[in-house]
Amino acid sequence: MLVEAQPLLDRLPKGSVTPQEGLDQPTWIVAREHLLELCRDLRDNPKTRFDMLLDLCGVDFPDRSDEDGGRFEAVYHLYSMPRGERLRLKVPLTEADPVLPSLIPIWKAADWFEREAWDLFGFRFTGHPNLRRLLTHDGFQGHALRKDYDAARRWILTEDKIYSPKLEAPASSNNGDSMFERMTINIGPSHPRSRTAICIAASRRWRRATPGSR
Amino acid sequence: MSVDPAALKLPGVEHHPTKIVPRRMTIAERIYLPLLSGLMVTIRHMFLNLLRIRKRVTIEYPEERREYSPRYRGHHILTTRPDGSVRCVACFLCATACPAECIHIEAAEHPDVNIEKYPVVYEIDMLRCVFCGYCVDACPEEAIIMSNNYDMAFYNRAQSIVGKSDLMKPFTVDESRLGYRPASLEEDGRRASMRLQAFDLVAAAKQGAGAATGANRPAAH
Amino acid sequence: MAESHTWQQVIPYTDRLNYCSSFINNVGYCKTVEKLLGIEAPPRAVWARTILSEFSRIMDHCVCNGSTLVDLGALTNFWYFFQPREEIYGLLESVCGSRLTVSANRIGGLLAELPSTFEAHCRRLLEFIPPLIDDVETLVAKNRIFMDRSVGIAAMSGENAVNWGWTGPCLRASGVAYDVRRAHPYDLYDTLDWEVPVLQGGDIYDRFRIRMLEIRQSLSMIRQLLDRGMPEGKCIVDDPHIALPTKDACYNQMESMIYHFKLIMDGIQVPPGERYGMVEGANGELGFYCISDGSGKPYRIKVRPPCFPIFSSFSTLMMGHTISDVIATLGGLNVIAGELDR
Repeated sequence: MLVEAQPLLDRLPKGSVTPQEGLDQPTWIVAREHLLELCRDLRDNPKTRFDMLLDLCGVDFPDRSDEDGGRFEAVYHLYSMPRGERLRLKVPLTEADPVLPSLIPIWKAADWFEREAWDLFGFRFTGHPNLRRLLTHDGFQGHALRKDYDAARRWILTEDKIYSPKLEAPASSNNGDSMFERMTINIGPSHPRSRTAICIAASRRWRRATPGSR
Repeated sequence: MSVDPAALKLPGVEHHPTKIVPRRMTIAERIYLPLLSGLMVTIRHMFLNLLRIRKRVTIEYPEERREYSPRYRGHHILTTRPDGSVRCVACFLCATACPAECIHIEAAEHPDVNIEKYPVVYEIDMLRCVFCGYCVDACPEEAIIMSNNYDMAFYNRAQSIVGKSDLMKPFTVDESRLGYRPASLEEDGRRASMRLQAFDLVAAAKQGAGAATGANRPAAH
Repeated sequence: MAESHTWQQVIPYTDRLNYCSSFINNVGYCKTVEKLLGIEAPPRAVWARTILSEFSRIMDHCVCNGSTLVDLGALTNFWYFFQPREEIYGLLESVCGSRLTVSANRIGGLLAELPSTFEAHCRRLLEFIPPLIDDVETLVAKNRIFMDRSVGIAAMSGENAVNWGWTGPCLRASGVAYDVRRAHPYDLYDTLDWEVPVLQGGDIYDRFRIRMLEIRQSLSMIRQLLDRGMPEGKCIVDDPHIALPTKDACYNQMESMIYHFKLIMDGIQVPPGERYGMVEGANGELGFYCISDGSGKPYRIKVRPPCFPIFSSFSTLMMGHTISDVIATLGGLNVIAGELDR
């Protein structure tokens, strides 16, 4: 247990954070109601300063009952760069209600990690501005990394299902007669590193790009 | 134009730099002077390539080929016993070890009780194979090894599934054509020469015996 | 996919994450599983892993910078960069038989003993690579055409970069000196004399420059390791429950044959537990969160790809830039789809 974090934990109701001993890095099991508040404190408090969200993943324990915590677990890995400390947070979630708050207001890195967790496990993040599939295509159904998902199942993507970002004309305009035009530019597989086509939909205003990717 | 950092300021985190300090150009750089030294680099390379042809880095493929080490993981080979039959005993270790699940084996009983089993069907799907060499590592009989052959183009998908006879086709007794295997000549001369002798016996058996005795060998292929 | 294969069979999958520097992916995964098992690779394997990781890092930076420059129209440098890559391929091929997706590590060490030509080959590479890197720097580093396209473009401040989850060269170009090899040393990095390069511009130019500086640091590290000499011993741990026995033992001893059989059929039995292991990949902190339930197959493996948070910030980063800047930035961020999508 991190001694420096004790004042933070004292502010939360008893039992909302339980340390798990014997692991490679400090691990806390956190109730989802207090996750947002705890994370904000962990980031802002000068004694802890967890300024980076390294990773967010889901784990599926289909044999675990709701009394033991529930089927799912969202695991956050945090890192404090000034202090070189690591922390793992685990948030147990039940199968019926895998909802937890989005941590985007605290770490912008949470954005795509949460989308990935939604895509692969079905966790719903309240407050996420754009919670849609990330790694699987738009015609995919089901949540691929759940233990009961049949890995051999194939889904076909038809054209009507392809997502098209809704890009709005930027509100601010210092040029009264600026032109807004929507164009999809495929910045495709010509790149040796981007073997898959990275499709970037750019909205053009004048000659400036406002990309919305994926 | 870059994103204004003040607009994205986070509370309480003063440790990391918030200012962006881009590189300033020197006067020489502003008047494009370093481009001359860059030009000299490309001119130097051009003359070196023209004058020292043997030291050029490109090779004239397919007439010239790169030489690979004795560990190269290329096309698979099923090795044979001295009588020409496949050395594989259909233990399924290679099929289990394969991460791509590309080896398909069907086993049958071998008339010789010391050998017990042999593969009736041994197929590798070359389109699934990732050439990791796990099958070679797994094999307890040195029955499957790899060569340094990478020319494996197919005209249709059916040709990509390589069967036993194609895998056994003697690439050559020449060690220089072999790739990833448990013992190369440099590492374990005794075992490598045993394998060479096995190939020599195969060649001798084929020359001497001929097609007439082929029917008498139930398991030899 | 990893959950349906044994711990050892996951290694070829890890190759295909950051396929430009696949050796480092292997090392990261193998080290995490080794920690779960409570073993350490022998000194010779650790020495070779460090050298080959640094060569892989050089390879990856060559690709990144080369393709950034290609996107900006400077094709020559791409060829100059790919020659070191080709030569390092030759080194990797002599060690494990494969050039790109190497699978050269096993849990507990390397796949085989190092070839006798290893040290000489490494030294030849140390002679061969620096002149080509110097050539590219002469062509591009002070070139106003390149600087006009890259200085000040897509700049990210250190604070923002940390909040977005950036790690690796992109973060170090923004002024934050975080390198897993220095902050949480593994292998031989804490015994070597090297610096973490840091720049303050956070733009495309500095991301390019930082990779060039890192290539030089890697070359220096390799030289130090070669001067130290190859340690004695084997290249894989001597535990029959973890490493496949040698072929001689397997052919001649019943016990070794049984261990061999069990390792292939059941896989390495990793005790129950979980671990987050990290290495400094060429792009940043490559993390493996492995959960074991005590069987021969992993229960859960989550890869923390360094380019995932970097690319997630891409749309915000490019607001207000031109389309041509988008192309230039994409190169510098070193987004590798294998790692991004897994």
